[in-house]
Amino acid sequence: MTTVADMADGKIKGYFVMGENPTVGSMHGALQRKGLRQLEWLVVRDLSLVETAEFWRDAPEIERKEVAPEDIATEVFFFPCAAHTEKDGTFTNTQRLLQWHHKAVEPPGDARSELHFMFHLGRRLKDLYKDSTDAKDRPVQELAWDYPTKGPTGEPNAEAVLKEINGFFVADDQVVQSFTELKDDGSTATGCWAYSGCYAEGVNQTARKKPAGEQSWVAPEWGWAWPANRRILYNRASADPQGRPWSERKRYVWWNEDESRWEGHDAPDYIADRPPSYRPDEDARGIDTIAGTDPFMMQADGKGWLFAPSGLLDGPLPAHYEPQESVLENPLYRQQSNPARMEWKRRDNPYNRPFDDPRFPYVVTTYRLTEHHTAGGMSRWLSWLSELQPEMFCEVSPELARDRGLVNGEWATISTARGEIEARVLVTERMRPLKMKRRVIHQIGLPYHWGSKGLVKGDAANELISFVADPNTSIQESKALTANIAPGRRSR
Amino acid sequence: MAKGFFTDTTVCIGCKACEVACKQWNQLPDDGFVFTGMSYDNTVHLGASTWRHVSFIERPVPLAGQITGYGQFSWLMMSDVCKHCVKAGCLEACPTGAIVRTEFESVFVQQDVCNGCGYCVVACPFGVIDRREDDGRAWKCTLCYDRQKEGLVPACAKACPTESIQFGELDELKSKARERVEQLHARGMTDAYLYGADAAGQPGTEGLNAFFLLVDEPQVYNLPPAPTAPNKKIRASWASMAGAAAALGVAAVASVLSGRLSR
Amino acid sequence: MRVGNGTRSGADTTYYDRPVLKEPVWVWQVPAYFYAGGAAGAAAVLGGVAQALEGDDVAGLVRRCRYLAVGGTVVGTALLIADLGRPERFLNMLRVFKPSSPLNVGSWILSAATGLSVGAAALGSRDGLPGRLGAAAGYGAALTGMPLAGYTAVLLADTAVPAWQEARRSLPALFIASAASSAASLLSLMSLNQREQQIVYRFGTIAEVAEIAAAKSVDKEVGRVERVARAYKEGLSGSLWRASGLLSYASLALGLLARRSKAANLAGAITGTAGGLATRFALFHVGKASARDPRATFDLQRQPDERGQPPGRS
Repeated sequence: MTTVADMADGKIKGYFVMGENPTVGSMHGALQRKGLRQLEWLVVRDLSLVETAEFWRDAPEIERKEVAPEDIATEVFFFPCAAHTEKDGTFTNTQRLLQWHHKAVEPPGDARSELHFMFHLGRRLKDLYKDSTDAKDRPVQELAWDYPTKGPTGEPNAEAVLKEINGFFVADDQVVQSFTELKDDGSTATGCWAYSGCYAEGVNQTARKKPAGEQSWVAPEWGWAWPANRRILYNRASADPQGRPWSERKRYVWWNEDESRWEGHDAPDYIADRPPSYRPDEDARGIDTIAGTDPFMMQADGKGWLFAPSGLLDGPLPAHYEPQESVLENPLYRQQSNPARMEWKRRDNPYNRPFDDPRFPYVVTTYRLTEHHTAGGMSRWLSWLSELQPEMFCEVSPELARDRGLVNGEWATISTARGEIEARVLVTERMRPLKMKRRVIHQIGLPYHWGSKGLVKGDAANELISFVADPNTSIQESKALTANIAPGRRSR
Repeated sequence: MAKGFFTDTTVCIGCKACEVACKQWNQLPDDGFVFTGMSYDNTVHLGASTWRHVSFIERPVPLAGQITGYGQFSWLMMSDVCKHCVKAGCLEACPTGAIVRTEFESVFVQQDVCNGCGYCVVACPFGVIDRREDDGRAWKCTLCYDRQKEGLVPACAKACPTESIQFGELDELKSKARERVEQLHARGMTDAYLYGADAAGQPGTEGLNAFFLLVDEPQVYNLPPAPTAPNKKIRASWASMAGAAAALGVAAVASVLSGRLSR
Repeated sequence: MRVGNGTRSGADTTYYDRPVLKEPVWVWQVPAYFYAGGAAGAAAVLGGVAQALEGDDVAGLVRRCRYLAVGGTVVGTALLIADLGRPERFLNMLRVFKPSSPLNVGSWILSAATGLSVGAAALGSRDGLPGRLGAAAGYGAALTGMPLAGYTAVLLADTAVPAWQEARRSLPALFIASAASSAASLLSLMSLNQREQQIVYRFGTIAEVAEIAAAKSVDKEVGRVERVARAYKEGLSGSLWRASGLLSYASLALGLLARRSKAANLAGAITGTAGGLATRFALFHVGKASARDPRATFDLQRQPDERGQPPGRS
């Protein structure tokens, strides 16, 4: 959001968008596109011409003739990209599991992998700077950028890149087995310490696909998890203070008294030989302060925290704040919204009133459907998925439908201070009016997958949403806001 | 060896992975992009190009045995498929012999024989098989005959993340299904029952090789309550035709003779 | 929070009122064939009988019956082939003999009837062996004409469509009666001698009366379940069905006047033909409407069966 606001203010010249579609998938589509309009150049790499690549000729403000394509100076470069079946590489999921995928077929036409794009971009940049004598260009000149390539397109070897990320000893080029072998004296190098071990023993650990029947239920030999192939973090907590599994049926890691070691189905996330009976001395330092009963090694005191005196910008305890835009005054505190939240107070990012805005009396939430993939770049161009959820819709309760004259299957227009969208109406009892402070509060549910391109088209829910974010991770606050809803299609 | 599907609707989560996996494996076209307003169901029914179809039922009735904050409401999902009836209306009706019973006891349309007469379409008591307009032939679930030939599980069952769709030997599936019903009853889901698991329960089809565990009336899922292969009832019609045909002959004789007599 | 007490949905529930059955994919060629094939079959029967009982006295009638049979079967075959999704594969109908499929049985009947009718028409007026073969073909055509006039009713009844299935006992009688009256209407338009006119008139009158009675018994048979009968009462199919009934009466009434007036004869023939076509098209649309109505299927199947047992479940 900071970057996009800077783009809109003309502070940024160029923008790479790779496998994302921010004009649909990120909040406040109009502001996203305003940012894109101020760029000198934009690079979009995607499977198809997504809305972000076509912002200059196919967007609500173009349709409304508020902006003319010929007035947009941004030079757009579109690169068709290879799908996961058309390139070697890894998936990393939110569970930290890296799974290698092998190229099954050549990518069609000009489509290339991200790796190909980045490698050859780097190569060309090096070439461009090779004769420079300017000191600031030295990092480019000194950059080691020599991955082996293969085939007529010069596709870099993805395993060579993974091996480098794993880390190696500079002297003999041997891979490190784990991040514990990394040194800060220049004798080792790595792309990312957390991934050290993914190429242990010179083997691509992420490509392991041992069947479930041939290994334990934790399946440590399926792919590889960072760090240290550990499937569950802080797993010492699966054993009681004495080191015995809390549940025999779910035993995970435990203390082996005979061997004086922690062992289990997973790599123990603990000091391997620290007995449960260990208690630190008064003057213990560093890792020695972690008692044998403290599973949360990464915390200073080894304990799990509800009270977080450090690390959070809005700690130490969780509290209830209303979102930026609510229909209610905060029923718990006088402080309406998170005081540490990130706001973008600018004319192109208007907010509804914090509560009781008579123009916007309903709550909106947004979500995904199983049938589509986020901003739709991978699903709205595929007939089999598009037919399953073919149109943008809004979900409303029978009560709200009655109040506002909304009819199942027909159109409704939803509006906020940022703009308006139209959607088909789905009346469902799954949406329930809430009773709060003796008031009935209606909710509108909006999936957000559609845009102006693809086999199935529709307005994007994120057109409605403002720039506002949480202070710790700057995650967009797109799950709760206020809006109005009326029957019929939007103005054109 | 008889193989088939047991579809346990109580664990269906409505992800439609079966629909997509089926279309991908069988390279089926889409059914058009139409928003129906019928909960999350936009493909409506099985047909020539939809061989698995997930129904979504939002009903003003709670699910027995389920703790819910929703009160008088529950959301049922069910992945429908060709039933591969033991007595199959389509197979009986097919005039060309294009529809056959395979070595796996499934009902299979041989596309190189089908001439698109459309008779199977009206013979199916479940409204499953249909003729594809652009192609002119009748299509339906093959129970992944090609995959079975290679010892593979049908695409839908393979893709189902909750084992709502189970594929296997029918005897085994049936005992599993009966156990599951008992289990659910013990848990308070007293509405659970098997649909089409055997000839006793569904004499009209003599049982389904793709049967279901349901928790509401069949018609709630758009299933007929007592389907019958049409030609089980047709003897009376042939007899009536024979009688009428004879009467036609008699009428002709009478017309000719009466003239002669009056002359 | 509460634990559901597990009520089931009401008995009249459907799935968003969507059809449970697939609508017939057939187009206008199919009811047109029912008409053409039926008329051809009945004509072949009358021709064969007249040939056997009266011989040369009614040679004109026999010949015209044969032409009608040829026309009906040849046009009918063409209509049937045109309706196929893959017309070039029409011969696949004859790659098996399958008694469980009325369409297969019917294809054999139609093929035989067509061949025999053509044979009878081509050779019937010759002398010597060809003539005798033609006469034999005429008898054969009469024999195949009997099922040809009626098997299409079995074809409709042998489906999952409630309004067709439920009429399975009465529908063959209606189709055969309608076939006979259709044939008589067409024949009465042709130039016949007095004797022949009389035969055709009597044949037609019997057929009209039978048709009216059969239509009544169809109404009675499908009336067992109100929802099944609905397709015969409402919408396009209901209008066609009513029209076909009225045309039968009109044709019968006009027939009574036909002896005195050429105009009445012509009007009777036209109404009879229209009635025959209306009957077939009515049934065609009745099936489509019935297939579209899920409650027709559900209500029918919730009826106790012949043994008084409610629909079973395991």
